[in-house]
Amino acid sequence: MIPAPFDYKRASSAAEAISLVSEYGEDAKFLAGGHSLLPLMKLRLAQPAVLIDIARIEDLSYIRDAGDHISIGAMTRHMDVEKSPILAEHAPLLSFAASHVGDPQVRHRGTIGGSIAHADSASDLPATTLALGATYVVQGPNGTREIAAADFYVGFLESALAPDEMLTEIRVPKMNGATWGFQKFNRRAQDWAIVGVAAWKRGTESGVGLVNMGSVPILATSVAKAIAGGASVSDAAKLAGAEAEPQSDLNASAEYRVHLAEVLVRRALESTSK
Amino acid sequence: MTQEKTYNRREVGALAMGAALATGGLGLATSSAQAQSNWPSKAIRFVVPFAPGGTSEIVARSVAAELTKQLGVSVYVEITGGVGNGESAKVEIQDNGHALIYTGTSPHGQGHATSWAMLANEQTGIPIENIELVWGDTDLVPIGTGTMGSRSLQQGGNAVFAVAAELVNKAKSVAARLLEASEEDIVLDKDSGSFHVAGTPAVAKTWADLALAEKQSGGLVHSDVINVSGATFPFGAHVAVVEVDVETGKVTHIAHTACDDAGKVLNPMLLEGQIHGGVAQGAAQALLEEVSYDPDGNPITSNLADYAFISAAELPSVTVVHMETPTPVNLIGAKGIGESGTIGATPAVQSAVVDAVSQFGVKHIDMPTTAEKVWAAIQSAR
Amino acid sequence: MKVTITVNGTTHESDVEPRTLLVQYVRESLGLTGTNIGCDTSSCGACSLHLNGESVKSCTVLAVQADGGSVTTIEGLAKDGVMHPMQQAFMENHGLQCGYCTPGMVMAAIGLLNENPSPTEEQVRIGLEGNLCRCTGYHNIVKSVLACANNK
Repeated sequence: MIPAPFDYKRASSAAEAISLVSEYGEDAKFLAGGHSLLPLMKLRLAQPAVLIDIARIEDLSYIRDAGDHISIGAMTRHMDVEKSPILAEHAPLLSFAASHVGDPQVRHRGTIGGSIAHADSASDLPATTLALGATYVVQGPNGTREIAAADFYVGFLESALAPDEMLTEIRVPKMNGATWGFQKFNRRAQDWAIVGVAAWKRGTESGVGLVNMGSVPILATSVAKAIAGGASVSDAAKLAGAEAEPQSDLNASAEYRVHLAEVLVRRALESTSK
Repeated sequence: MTQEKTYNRREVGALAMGAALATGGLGLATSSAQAQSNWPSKAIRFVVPFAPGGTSEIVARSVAAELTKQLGVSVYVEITGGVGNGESAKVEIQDNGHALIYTGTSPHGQGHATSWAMLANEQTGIPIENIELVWGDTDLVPIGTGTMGSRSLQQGGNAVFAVAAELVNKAKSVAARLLEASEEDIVLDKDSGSFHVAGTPAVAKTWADLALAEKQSGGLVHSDVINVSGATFPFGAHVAVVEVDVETGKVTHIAHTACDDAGKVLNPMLLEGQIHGGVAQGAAQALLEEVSYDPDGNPITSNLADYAFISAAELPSVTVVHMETPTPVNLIGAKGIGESGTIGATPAVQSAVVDAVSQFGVKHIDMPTTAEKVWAAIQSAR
Repeated sequence: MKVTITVNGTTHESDVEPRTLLVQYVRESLGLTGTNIGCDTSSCGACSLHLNGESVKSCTVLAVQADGGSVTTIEGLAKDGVMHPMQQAFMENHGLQCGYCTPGMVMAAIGLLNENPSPTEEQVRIGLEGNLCRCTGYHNIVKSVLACANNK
């Protein structure tokens, strides 16, 4: 219920954040909105010795039109992603997905950067940005690098971030009029997805990301290949489970998850969500 | 005088069912053409213990007519007021003429402060806003059974009603003394909350006057434990409408109507609140909520993230139909409404789900009818 | 760690352990026990209050994160003994029974109307997805919120 004790540091710049995390190493975690981290700490499933609060770093929260893509600061809250007119126009799949994260109170605090860095395959935004072919900008002691979303999720709650690196920006390619669908299948509105699908299609181009279908967010490349090869949406959707390794848990069996993925991929590609 | 109506089981069908719609078609279940159970095996008899032509008889005839047309009704009878056989109450008049009620019930949202004030007001004429309730402190209320089993109004409220009536009698004798008249000639004017001799309303004593007069000799107060002659039997019918997404098995509860008869209704708003809450809990049990364990017996739904506690987003608003068949077992004709919602809703919702997919040959799905269970039932029946 | 937080218009300077949750701070350090704790998992919303004008779950915010910020709890809604319109609507429409979820529900509902002044019933239900109630079945809560929206 109450987290284990920890030291609390505030970073006033990205450079300071990185130098602090370099100093404390694996004992330290960044604190953004805290809505992935604090619930774990309250159950004592995570007990970092040091929290580095990055919420007050200037200019980490923004949504900017950068030509062929939209740049989103890592500290941008889900509510701001949800309500952004720029994203509504250029990447509506992302703003719609953000509107389904948790509940309004959660969306006032949780951030897109926090969600992505936490790398939970059951979260909505990792799979959505993966489907959109996003690039994540990461800052470390030696400078900045870009990591493609497809290379970012390496294991269960494990990302390609080095221990002394911080996610600073998410770059989402403009959707340029693609149709899209986001299907979040859960028991109750506030729940995690049992299975979720983020998908877009423009002619024979498409991108399909799966939520909670494996230890990492899944890019359903077989579906996209089939569509590129001229298959119908409903035929392509049957390949939804090809890259997935779904688990059986309290809420669903693996077999049912595969079935859901096929249905939801088809629905996500068939019609634009409202 | 009683009237009896007998209905042919073939038309009525199984006792507990819900109307349902399956996506892709209107699948209002019909009677024995479906693979429904053959129970009940006897006709359902409606006993209407009122004179012909009265409201109750008309209502019973209409409900029965609807039942013969179409199933989709969960019909229940329950027992309430079986915990304890009475309750304590004390009504005390304060110097300013306000009343203090001490009750042995233990409200936690049921609104007894409002309801008991209404009952005391009915007997005494003291305005509801001048009546306060005391409960839960055994220094102040030494005898009480509490609030559970839908008992409070029929036992606790009943006690307040009876004790307040007796207090009025005591007050009349005090008024008689002060007005130098005989007790039989004293009248309580409830509109003004004052006592006068019949025929001379201008000379009156208020509750405050009487309380003051009794101050030296223990105050104007009456206290008692009032028993009731037995348990009561609320009953009702619920109709649930659900929509099943056949491809995934996901169930949406889209409408619900509850007709519950818990005797004489004291406060409709409080009554409906109890029904709403019960319906939500019943629907949740049918659709979502379950305590689960792993193979070693460890609970795995031990927090509100894992345990699917239902939210507003999963529920419809509830249409409530009022019906009142007073009980003779207490003074106020009231039975208990607290559990009616849960009892009526759970089978209605679960049965609606089964009804919706019975067209595929499904005969039963254990609660909660989660999406995977519904989907699996459809697959194995097909 | 020293924090300065304005709560219901009054600015407090306190020394708190970093792990102190905002809900503990308002309840235990400030004695404002109107805000309730109902779960361990950020699910129930009973702890909802406003931080910098927005509804948040105070069990999932550290007091140190609220440093320099402005908090409104349920105690801070009524002005000069006059209830906030949302409180009034809950009272008139029997939007509460035991009252445990109510402070969080009212704060969440106010936040909802701040962002969507004329919601449909469905939008109210979804907007309150993060607030759980066992007593009311939500029917009168939804009614209260819609009544408040219509009275503005």
